[in-house]
Amino acid sequence: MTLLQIDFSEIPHSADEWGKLLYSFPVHIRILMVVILLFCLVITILFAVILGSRIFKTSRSGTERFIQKKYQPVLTQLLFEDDDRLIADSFFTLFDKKDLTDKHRRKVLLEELIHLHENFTGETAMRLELIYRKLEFHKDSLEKLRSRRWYRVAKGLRELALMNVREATGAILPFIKNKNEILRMEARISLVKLSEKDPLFFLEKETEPLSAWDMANLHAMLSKLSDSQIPDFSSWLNSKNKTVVLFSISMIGACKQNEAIDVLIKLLESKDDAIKYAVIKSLREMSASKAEEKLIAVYASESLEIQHAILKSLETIGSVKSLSLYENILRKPLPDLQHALLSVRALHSLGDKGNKIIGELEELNSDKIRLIISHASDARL
Amino acid sequence: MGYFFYYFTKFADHFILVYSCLIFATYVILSTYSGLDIINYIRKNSFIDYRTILTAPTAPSISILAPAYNEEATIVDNIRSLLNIHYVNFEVIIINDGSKDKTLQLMIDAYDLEPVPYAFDQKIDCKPIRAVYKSRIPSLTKLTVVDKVNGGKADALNSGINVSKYDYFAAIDVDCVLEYEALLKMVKPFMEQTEEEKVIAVGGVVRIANSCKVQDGKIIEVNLPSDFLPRAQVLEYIRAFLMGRMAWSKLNGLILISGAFGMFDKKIAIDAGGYNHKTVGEDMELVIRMRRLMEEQRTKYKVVYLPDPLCWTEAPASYKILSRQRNRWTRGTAETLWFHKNLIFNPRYRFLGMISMPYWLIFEWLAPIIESLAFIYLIIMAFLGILNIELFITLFFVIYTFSIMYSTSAILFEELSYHQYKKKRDIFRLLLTALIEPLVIHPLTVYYAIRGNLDLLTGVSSWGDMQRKGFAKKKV
Amino acid sequence: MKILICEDDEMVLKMVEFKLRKEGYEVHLAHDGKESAAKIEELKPDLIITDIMMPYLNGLEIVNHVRKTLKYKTPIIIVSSIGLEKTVLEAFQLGADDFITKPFSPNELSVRVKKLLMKG
Repeated sequence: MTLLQIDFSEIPHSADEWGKLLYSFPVHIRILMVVILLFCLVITILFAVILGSRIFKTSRSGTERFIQKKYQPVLTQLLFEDDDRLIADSFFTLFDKKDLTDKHRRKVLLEELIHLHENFTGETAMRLELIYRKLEFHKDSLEKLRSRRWYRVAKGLRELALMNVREATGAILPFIKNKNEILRMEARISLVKLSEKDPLFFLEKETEPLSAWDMANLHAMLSKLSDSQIPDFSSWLNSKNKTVVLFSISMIGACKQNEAIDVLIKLLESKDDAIKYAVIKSLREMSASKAEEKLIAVYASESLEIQHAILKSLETIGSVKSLSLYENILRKPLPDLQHALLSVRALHSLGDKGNKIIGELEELNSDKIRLIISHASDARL
Repeated sequence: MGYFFYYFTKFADHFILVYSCLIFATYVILSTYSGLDIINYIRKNSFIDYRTILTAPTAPSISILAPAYNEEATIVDNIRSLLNIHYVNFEVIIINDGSKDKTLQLMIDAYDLEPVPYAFDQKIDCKPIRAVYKSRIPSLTKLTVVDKVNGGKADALNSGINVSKYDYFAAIDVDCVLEYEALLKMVKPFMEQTEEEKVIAVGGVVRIANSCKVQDGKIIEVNLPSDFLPRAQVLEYIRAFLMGRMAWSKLNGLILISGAFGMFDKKIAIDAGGYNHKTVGEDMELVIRMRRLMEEQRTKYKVVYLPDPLCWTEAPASYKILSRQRNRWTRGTAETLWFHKNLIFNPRYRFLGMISMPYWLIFEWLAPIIESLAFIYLIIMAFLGILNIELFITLFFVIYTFSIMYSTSAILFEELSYHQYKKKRDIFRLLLTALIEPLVIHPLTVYYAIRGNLDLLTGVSSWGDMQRKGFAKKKV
Repeated sequence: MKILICEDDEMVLKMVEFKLRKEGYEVHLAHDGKESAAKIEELKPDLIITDIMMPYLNGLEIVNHVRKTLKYKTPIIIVSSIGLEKTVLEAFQLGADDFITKPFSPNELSVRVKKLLMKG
């Protein structure tokens, strides 16, 4: 048999002949042919979907730009003109009916309000909330809570919290027990902003661990509350949930709740390094000079990381009482580099007395110490 | 002899068939997984505000490590773009790996650098550091430049780890263009980790920047590459990243984070011994070693991959450079698999040993070899006149249509998720590329891979310096 | 009085522009750091409002550029979503006159603008 034998007269002319030709092949070849046809069919379908999606998305983004451009001057005036347009009957004439009824256009407009609210506070934010209400967007957001798709619910939660829709609290509460863990946390985060009192009511019974991401979101929400609404975080320091304790410690530092300093100092006796680390960091943020003696006392028995944190804190809160600690570190034959650098920085911050010790150390015949000193003395490093 | 030959051909026929079916099946399974995971990822991040990280006291600090070797064409712009990334607590460490051109001097001039006394612990071995530079400009405190004796990329990254200050490091190719939110997005998985499950590394999708408009180290317009070769690689990258690695990340079996862009837990990377300078596949090798360490410590851990297009890189635009790149990739894979051969099918390493490593051995490293052996086999059969031509042609079309189908699904994934190529024309051009690519580019990459293996065996190591045109030359 | 606002968010930029125009200032806009640096030299504004995270040149570099390179004493207000103490301190050290964290109140901003312009 030669390689290829194509006789053009053999090419079939009718469906029947095609069928005959097909059946002239052995069965496994026929199966493979069907597979090829199947693949071709899938390719065509995939391609049609891609094309459809492309056309759809192009038109969508066109509408988006159109709506944004159209309402930007309207919103600007509503937010910054001192007239009564915002409460006048003529308010609705500013918006085309179609833009408020069409689902997608409405969504674009809502996104725009949300985006602005994320950037503004004060009267401007209040005006945005008013516009949001007048255009009944809170109903859209509440509607999202009824969605079967969890991420739409989450979006609704975020919107309601941002726009301060307090009456939504009742509708949100059930979500703190939802089976989706992200949704559970989102519900908590939104309630921080919306609860009348006790923004962190859930912390007491919190059994799930809070991740750094959760903490960041809770912190962001808390920072939107007024100072009088911020709870006393020391009340959760005894929580059985370690992450709640860690969060409370870091919030005590961030909110500078100085009344809690004594309790924090006690926590230095904890056996958990993560807790000690957080405490030392918060003490530093609060410039709690009270803690100095305790920090010096525990220093020797701590792990390298904790020692590092202690030295960093002493740099801001330490006094001449810490001098001998630094000196001991630096006079060791093989000092830990990071500790040595921090010690030199701390000595610098102590003024004359510290600088005198640095001077003495420079006299020592050690290139390493000299390098450490000049490294630590460069504020950029 | 006749009998032997008969059974051999029977075996070969069946082997080829089974192997191709297996590859098809894994492709289908992996891309399904990927699709689900991408949808999940997009949903999960559809309502959040990444800016939260900017004000969070709990956000980690990051050291960006970017080794530079003979990068004078682009280095100044690239540093600019790294410095402007949206993040708060980070430092940018550029490691000049003994460049022979003016890379160092250009950096010194552009950023007013001066050598500073810098004490650091040599936590990982690396070639001597000549000097550490900082800028005299007070608003550039985040920039550090390390000048060291040439030792290759792995060695440069190790010295960067030694000098770095923070707990996480991001290793990037200095000629990549990062999206501004890249770090915010990469750091989120680390912030989501719990005590029960550590996140040890996060990888990001790498996209092709050829034909994109780049200005001062920022992508301002995404375009589909106008040349065929880079366009074919666009398809390849979408397939590999969006359809392959996402699935492995979902299965928690990912062993390759592209050297172009990845973020790592520094302590674990150091405990694992840092980058291995004995292989050209140091990126994959590090991830395997970190995973290995975690497996041996019996710690629960995760390697995460993000589908967002965060990192853009210039793909080889000539066949010569492509051949060097693929040659290097093959050697990297082969070396890494060899170093860790005792993991393969080792139940002690669970998923890593039983699935990930064998997959790489059988479907990544071995695939081009089997493909070319099969090709040679077919030629011999044809020559002997015993090739079943009907079967051959139908099989060829099965494989051909399958690869088009696979590429088309990749285009669909891209369209539905991030649709970077917005022009309608681009869709047709991508599809056309999908039609031609399996016939032209694929055989070539197979050939380059074979060459890579041969080079490895014969000990020829042509250090594939990637010549790049440089972004700056394509100013708008 | 000429004010230059640098901000890469178009919507926010337009809003602030409107607010300050209404207060009677001559307002100029820049969408990124490079445009901003060019306009500072060209227009010599009486006050600069800048975001930190912007393309090409960030807000802190602009502050440094104005103070150290151009040696202008133009008052600078930073408006940024980065509110960490460290960043605020860094901004002041470089020579910024005021720091407002996002989200911010446009009224508050205009009060601070007025204050700084009166001082000068």
